[in-house]
Amino acid sequence: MAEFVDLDRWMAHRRPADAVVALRDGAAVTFAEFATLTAGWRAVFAEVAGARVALHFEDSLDFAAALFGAWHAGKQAVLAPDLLPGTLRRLSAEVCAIASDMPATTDLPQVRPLAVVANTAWLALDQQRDALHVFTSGSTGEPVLIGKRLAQLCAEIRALDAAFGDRIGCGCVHASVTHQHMYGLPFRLLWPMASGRVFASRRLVFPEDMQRALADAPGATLVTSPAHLKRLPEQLDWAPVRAQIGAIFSSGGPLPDEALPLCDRVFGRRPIEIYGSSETGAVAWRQRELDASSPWLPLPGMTVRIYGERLHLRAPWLREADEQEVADRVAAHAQGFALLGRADRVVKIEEKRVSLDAIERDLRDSGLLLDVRALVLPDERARIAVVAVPDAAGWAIHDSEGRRALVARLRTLLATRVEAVALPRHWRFIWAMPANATGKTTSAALQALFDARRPHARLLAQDEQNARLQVEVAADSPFFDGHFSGSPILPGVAQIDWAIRFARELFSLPEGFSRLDQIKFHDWIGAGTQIELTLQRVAADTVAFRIASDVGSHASGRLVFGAAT
Amino acid sequence: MQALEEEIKSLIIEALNLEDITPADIDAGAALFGDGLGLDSIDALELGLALQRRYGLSLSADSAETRRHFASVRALAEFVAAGRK
Repeated sequence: MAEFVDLDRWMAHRRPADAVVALRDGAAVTFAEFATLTAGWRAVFAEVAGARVALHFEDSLDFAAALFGAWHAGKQAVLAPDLLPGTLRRLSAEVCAIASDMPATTDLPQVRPLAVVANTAWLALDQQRDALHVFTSGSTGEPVLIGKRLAQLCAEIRALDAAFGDRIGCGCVHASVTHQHMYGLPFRLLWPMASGRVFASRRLVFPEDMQRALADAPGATLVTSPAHLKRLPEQLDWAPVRAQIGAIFSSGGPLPDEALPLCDRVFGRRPIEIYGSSETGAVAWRQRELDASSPWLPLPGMTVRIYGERLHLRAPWLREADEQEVADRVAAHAQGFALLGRADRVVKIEEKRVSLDAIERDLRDSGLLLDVRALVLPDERARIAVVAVPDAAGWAIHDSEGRRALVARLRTLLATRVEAVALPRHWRFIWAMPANATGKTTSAALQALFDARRPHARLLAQDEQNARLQVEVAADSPFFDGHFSGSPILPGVAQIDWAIRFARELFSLPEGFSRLDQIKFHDWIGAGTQIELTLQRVAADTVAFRIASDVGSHASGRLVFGAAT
Repeated sequence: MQALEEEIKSLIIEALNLEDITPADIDAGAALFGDGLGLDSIDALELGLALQRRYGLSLSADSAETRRHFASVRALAEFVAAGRK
């Protein structure tokens, strides 16, 4: 393996012109070719006024050339997380130009590399300069730029090499994650470059790409994430991959336990998991073997201190000389620590950091909602869900154009600021946020609104004793499962469930359920209809209900709450 | 082919747990990703898995080709029909 060359001297380092730097579509790209490309970027960036340029590339080779070109032109690079309109707007205040291999809709000058006669004279870079800026969601959820000096990047890569240099192979480094963030950038690009490994320029988007690339790559390293590792299709022929893969890295979010046996079967080995963040870079690692709850071990050079549940870090690749506190809660272990969850309202959705506060703020700005809460539903595929109380304008859209139209309006608003995977997938519009006895909206109460058995409903009228709701009898309600195939009829138990559910949401009632009185079912209710549910509180513990529709009365009765007598 | 398209629409709704969407809401010729149905990159992975489970077929290792198959319900139906032969 080639000697380790720090980033500041990487271009200036004397190496054979035909030394292979990268693989693009199976073809080797030499240092001479890379230097020519980089010189073209250096030339165009040298003509740009201003200190910072934004980079956003799908291809890692083009990105690397633009990055080194920018550095050698004296510029700082800002990593654009995406090309969404909101991001581009934010960037235009921070940078003077943008370079990308994809079209971007922006007023910023978009630059392409100049065709230059290869100028291969490269000086060493100043390690103490600000070299890189990345967006991270601050504590408020508003993205903020954080800067990194070249020395910080160099220190992090040295730490990675010290920790893993001997554990991974010398083969090509392939990745399913982009280099546009602080996991992908060092792992798939900068560390391979500094350690003399070849990196693959194209990202492996689908598992099939991964299988094909790795089947033909002895001793390869795969830089990937839980999004891929938990969705590996076992039907593919992974045997050639298993026979020769060198190492797998996973980061970006927690890798579920269930993904480990899948990794065993597909790759014959377990990933090295990395814990880190944009602010801190890589912090700790673990490779779970038999003990699936292995603690996280700090990287060499990372000093970890734990106060209560809070993690404090110090490392040569952190900006602050002082200790930096991170927003993850941890528990100390003999050798390292265990992660317990976030201390703030930032969540990870498929490796994308999403601020629930920011989503709520953006939605509140819609002018269509009085109140809104964003949450993550604890199902298999954690997705963001929204509970919202529309205002008059919001309900007007809801009532005239339908619920989906209101959802579409709100989603469109978010889509310019939030990446697709982080867009809320589930929506509930209600008349008031659920509140417990102390007036707090608990996450359990919010999650209960997403119970598949709870139908969509619109409160039509309410006073102290009475409430009237319009309830959608959706064809996909679980109450229709097996009742009956081909001719769905809403079971009586569903009608009682709905009456109890909405009575509890609308009135303060005693705990427990005592009995049903005077229950009558008059007429059946089919799928895809609308019914009106009338609730009347006739005593402190008793609510009378009636279900009716255009065709007449369907059911009525009394619900008696409180301990069974 | 029409029946297969309907089957694939149901598979998409079920596999991706799409809320408030019925097969009738999905235009077989409309884009699944981006502006159309608004599916995302994770949906593509999930859908790939669901297709493999249901029809036992693998996506091509060529991502450009895979993107073509994933363009719309109609394209997926043609791909599934060809793969099942």
